[in-house]
Amino acid sequence: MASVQDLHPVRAERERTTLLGMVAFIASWVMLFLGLFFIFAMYRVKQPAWPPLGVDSLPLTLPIINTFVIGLSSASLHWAVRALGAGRRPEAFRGVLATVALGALFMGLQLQLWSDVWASGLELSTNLYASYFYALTVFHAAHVFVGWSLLLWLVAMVRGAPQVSHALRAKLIGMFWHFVGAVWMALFLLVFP
Amino acid sequence: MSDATHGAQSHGSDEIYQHLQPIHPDPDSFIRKWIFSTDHKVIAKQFLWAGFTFLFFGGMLAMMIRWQWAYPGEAVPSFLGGVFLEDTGGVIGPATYNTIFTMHGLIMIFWAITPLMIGAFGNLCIPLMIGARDMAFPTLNMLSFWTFFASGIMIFASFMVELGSAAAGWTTYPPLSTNIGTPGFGQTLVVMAIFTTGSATLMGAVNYIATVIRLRAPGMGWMQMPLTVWGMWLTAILNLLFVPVLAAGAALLLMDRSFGTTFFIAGANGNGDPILFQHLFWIFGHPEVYILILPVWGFIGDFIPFFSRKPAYWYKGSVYAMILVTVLSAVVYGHHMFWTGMNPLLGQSFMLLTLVISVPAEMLFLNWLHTMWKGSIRLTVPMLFALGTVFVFGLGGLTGIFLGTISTDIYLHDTMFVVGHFHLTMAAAAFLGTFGAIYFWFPKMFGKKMNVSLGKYHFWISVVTITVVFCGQMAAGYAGQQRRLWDPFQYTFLAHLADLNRWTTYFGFALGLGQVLFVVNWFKSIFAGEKADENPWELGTLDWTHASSPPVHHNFDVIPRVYTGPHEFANPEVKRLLGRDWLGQAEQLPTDAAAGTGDAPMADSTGDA
Repeated sequence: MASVQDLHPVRAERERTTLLGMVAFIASWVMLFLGLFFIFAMYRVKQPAWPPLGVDSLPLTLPIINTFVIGLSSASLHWAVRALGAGRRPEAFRGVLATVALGALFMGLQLQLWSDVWASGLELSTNLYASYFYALTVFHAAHVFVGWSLLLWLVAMVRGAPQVSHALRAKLIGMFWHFVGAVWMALFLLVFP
Repeated sequence: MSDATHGAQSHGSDEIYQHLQPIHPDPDSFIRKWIFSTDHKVIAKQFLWAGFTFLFFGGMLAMMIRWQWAYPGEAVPSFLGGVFLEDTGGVIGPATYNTIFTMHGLIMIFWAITPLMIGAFGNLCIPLMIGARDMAFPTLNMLSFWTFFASGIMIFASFMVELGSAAAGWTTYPPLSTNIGTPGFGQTLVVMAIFTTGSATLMGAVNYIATVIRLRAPGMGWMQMPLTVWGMWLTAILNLLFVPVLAAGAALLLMDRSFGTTFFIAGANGNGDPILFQHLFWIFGHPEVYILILPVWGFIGDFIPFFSRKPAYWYKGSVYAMILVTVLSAVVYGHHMFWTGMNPLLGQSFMLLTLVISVPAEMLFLNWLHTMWKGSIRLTVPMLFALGTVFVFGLGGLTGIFLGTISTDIYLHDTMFVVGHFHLTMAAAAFLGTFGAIYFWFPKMFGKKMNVSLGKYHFWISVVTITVVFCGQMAAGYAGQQRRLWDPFQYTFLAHLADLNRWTTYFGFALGLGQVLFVVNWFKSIFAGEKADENPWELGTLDWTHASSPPVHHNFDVIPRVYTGPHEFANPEVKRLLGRDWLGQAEQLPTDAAAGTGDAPMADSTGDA
């Protein structure tokens, strides 16, 4: 089956411009997180002990589960975007819905994690171990929330009448969601162990 | 994929290119035309007016600093003292002084130069010079201006807050910038304003980058672009990558100020480290100074060939030099931190890289001079400003060597020498370069000409006073005067510098007053200036050859196809066939077209000398 590119070279050219814009946008967000991680790394390597003496290390169960959850959500969204591009809208709808569900699960588990950590005595300004944990995970979660809101919009789009713009928007939202997942992977490796 | 000389499109068909940027009908309502416009030319003017407003405001703050150093403790006269300092009867106290130099720096960098040079001229020049009808993302462009506008409101608001506006220096170092060092909502509001204007900048950067990559006219390869566009594009890349790092620092600082964390506060709840802020700040801060100069290098890189009626000497070398500076700017930031006790090996590495980064800047300088050599110089007002920029930048750049070298930096750090250095290279060069651009593109923007005599007087007064003021500062710094002192002369070892400072102030006031000539010229020309035709400077770039003055909403009725570079001057064939010393980028010589070889590019004027 002929793709959008073959039938509409002008549209394909415009889409490439938009995708480039998204790449640039995500690049700047990567730098934001790199800045935060850099400072965290500089602080952490200077500490004689990590976690600091007398402080319990962060729970690992929920973060490990969340890593799988967010990884799965990227997979489901990737599948959905491809389906949408090929015109298989019912499949795409299921994929986006699954991603929304996994995203909600991620955010719910994060809230639970924060609640557990807070209850164990580590509040935002208790010590820097806690402060960095909250700062980094909250920053990340804010981006998860933005991405998740975009996913809700994508659900509405895929459910509604097909329009030519949908495939591109799905791709863009997919790029953002994968980026958010990638940041989580870095977060998971740097902050929790 | 397409080859470099025949444009960025993979299809190569001009037909498709015309459809890529369809001509939309002109907006009809006042609001869509002038307020919430997506037209890059209107947005450029919005940034221009906003930038001028803050330039005035930042300039007033500078005059107050100079006043304090000329007449320490005396009441600032007239309405400035009466309105802004009524609590003390016009006298600048030490805390107020801190606010004044802080806001002077922040406003000039983020709310004056950035919108004027990058917001206004980036927006105006990029689409017109590359043959595009607008930016890649016009709505995002509009959002970028209004986000910037919101940040400007926050800045004005910060002055009305009870404990005053920000007062920790533009560098905002903790612990002075924490809520212990500078309590009150003013500092917090300013940090939030920086965050907001940063996001506006990021939106603009995405736009500029995508537009230059994707919307160049067919035939305009990377090496056929005017250097102005190169400057704006490289600046946008630096903005894109490094403003977020500032945002990271600002966010953590806001958390320290408002939520009791101690990322940058030592002792207390775990050993936070103020130096960490300096890292984040300067990882941004050093590229920022290149952000503020790359567009100027672009302007000069074009103006000098334009007004020497000669191709740019080694155009490709200038491009490579600008790219090299862009890349290196990321790895020299430690030269702002030589005093923080870093490992000497690290310090030496930063020093070496800092000295290396001066080499491509020097290459540019030599290329400009070589372009002028044996050229047919036209001392137009833009050319005068370009030459003035070359002068102050050369002077300032040389002084940077003493600051980049650790042994001399130990003595000069945090003295007025640093202030003189960065004002010459950054403020003076950006100031003169941007004014050159204003005079240059005024006919295109408004369809009228600016008065030449007023422009020349404006130039001479500006360049002389600006040089004296900042060389005066360097002299004071060399003599030991530290920066940011409310009353330097209370210290016996600095008391003898009072006269130097007073004379510097006189020249500073003259610089300020000299700008009145520009203001008069500006308003006179907008309302009653002589009509300008399409190409008063006789140039070959697309903005002058294919767009009317001012351009129509969609810029080009037909997107031109480009055949040559931007500095096609003094070609004997052109002289013979067309009777002039310049050829348009989208123009073909009669014989070439007749022979049916319209696709072949002209004799190469873009590359090697």
